[in-house]
Amino acid sequence: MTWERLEPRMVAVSLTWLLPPLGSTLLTLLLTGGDLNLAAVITLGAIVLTFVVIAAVFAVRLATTRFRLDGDRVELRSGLLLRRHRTVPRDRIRSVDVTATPIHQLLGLRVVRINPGVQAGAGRREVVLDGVGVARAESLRRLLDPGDAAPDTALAVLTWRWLRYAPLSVWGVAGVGVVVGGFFRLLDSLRINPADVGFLRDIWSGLTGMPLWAAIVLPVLIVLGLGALTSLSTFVEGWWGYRLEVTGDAIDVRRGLFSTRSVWLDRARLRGVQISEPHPLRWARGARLNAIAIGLGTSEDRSTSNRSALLPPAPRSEAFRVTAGILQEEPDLLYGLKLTGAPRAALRRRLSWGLGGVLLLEAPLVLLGALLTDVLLHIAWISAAVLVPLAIAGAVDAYRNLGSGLHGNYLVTRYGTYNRRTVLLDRAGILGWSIDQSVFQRRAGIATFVAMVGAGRGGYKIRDVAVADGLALASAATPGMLDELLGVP
Amino acid sequence: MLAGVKAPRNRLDRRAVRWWIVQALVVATPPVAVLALLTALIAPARTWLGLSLAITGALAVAYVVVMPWWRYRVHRWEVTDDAVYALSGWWWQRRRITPMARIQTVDTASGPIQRLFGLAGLVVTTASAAGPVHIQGLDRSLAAELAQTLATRAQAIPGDGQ
Repeated sequence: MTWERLEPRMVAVSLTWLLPPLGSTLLTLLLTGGDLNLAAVITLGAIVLTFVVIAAVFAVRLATTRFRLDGDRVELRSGLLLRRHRTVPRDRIRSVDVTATPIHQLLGLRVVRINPGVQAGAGRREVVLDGVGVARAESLRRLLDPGDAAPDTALAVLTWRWLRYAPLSVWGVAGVGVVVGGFFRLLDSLRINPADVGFLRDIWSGLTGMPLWAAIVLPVLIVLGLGALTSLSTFVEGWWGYRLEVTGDAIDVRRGLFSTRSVWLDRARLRGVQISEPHPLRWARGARLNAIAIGLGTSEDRSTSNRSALLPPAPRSEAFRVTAGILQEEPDLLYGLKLTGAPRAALRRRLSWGLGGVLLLEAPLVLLGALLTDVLLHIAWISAAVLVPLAIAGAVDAYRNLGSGLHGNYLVTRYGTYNRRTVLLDRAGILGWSIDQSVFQRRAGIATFVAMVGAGRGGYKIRDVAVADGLALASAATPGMLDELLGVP
Repeated sequence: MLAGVKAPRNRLDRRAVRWWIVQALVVATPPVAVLALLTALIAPARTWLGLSLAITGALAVAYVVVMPWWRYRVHRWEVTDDAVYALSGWWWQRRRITPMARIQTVDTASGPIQRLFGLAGLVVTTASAAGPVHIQGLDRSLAAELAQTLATRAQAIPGDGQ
């Protein structure tokens, strides 16, 4: 086969690296009214230079990249001075994703990611073909994807009523914080005093003119509103056109509005699923669903572009139904789920963590308060009055969420305070066990059992289970694996 | 000890205690030395610096004296026909059991201090991303021999190649 190149149109994408310096220069000129001091000029110059270098490197890499498909492997060559040659055997490919940023879409281009999976001791070694024509991307995907059967009906498609779960994600609020923080850091690095910026001064004088309660409640409402709006638009962008298909031995997820993501997964790589119910979502009886599969990363990766996500935030019943479908089990798989709770010692541990944390926080306040000023003492007791009940509630919630058991072919563990996670692991995929104990756990007769798997986080914990129960559960899940430990000859 | 659980059969080499003492000294000396220097040089803050020096010093001494022996009492290992079983740690203890069929690679590895005492560690990797099983502080020739044995045994058992 001949070597192929990336589309020359990609040069336009490398030019987008020049947008941030242009934007920051324009913004500075706008904010200062065209009056730049030396520090600002140096900062802007540095920014421009950095991005010009990045754009140049990007363009060189683009021009030197070649790839080809041989009978049994994919090869990629790139670099001008430092030449790299990568080869991935085709039978090792674990997933093929086709994505596109808005700019790629505008130019009719796609990014093809060929993932050879996680290798022990090495980082992720993806082969990325950034800048392939739409038709070629689709044909690559079909060529490299062994499960090329006729599509069955979709297991799940987007339902717009799920949109109501979107604002229940806290990432939106955090996103607003990041943007505001970044804005002020930019002003700082450009040596611009926020008080000199017209609209900020107006906002400030507006706030100080209001009664105290309004000056507190209004910004909180605005931040929450903006946060919800961010979450909503992230949801729409990320899950537009969502479609989950199970065809033969493959699972196929497509989604995304501007940036389309498409994840293809061989079922042989699936080791289980994780259902997460963070608090606001749990109140609304909603849940998220992630695959635990070789080569897909963990559910803790960034939630917006998470490759292991199988379902948007959706009703829990929907997550249950899709779980059963993915695992090819009876639809009521999760309804009969019975988990054994943890012993009381686990509650005591969580209470002492929570209260210990509060104590660590309060101790310096009380100490300094006694030495210096009564104000600190007042802050101490007021904050304790809020934090102690919070810590207790968190500990009780964490304790009640603890659970573990066997359910058919799956080992199930549930844990978490704010975010309750239920993990179903295929028993056949367990590679080994780790039994961890601190001095305190030893004294309380409990231990944390970790089931090692070759996917997701690598190890899934059954926290603070009574030692005898844990041993019984582990040996029932993986018969014979604990023989050395139990002294079985 | 864990009720109803058998500990692995073998202890480490006694030289491991000395290795851990040296390692603990390497970790604990710099903060104590820096604090001592500051206490000597900065007269106005001598009370506070001296206090933190005393606390840090006591912790460091306790670490150097207690940790190596505690570890030596805990650490154990065993290699059977079916599995590798290792117990390690001191305050936090961890026992790891890995079936022979799931072993992907076996290496020996030793840092400079460990080599100084003629010791080496065994590193047993599986497909799990949660990290390999380490058996540190073995006699160097024993570690090499074990690595050989494990490699042949793991190869003899049909693995699942995940």
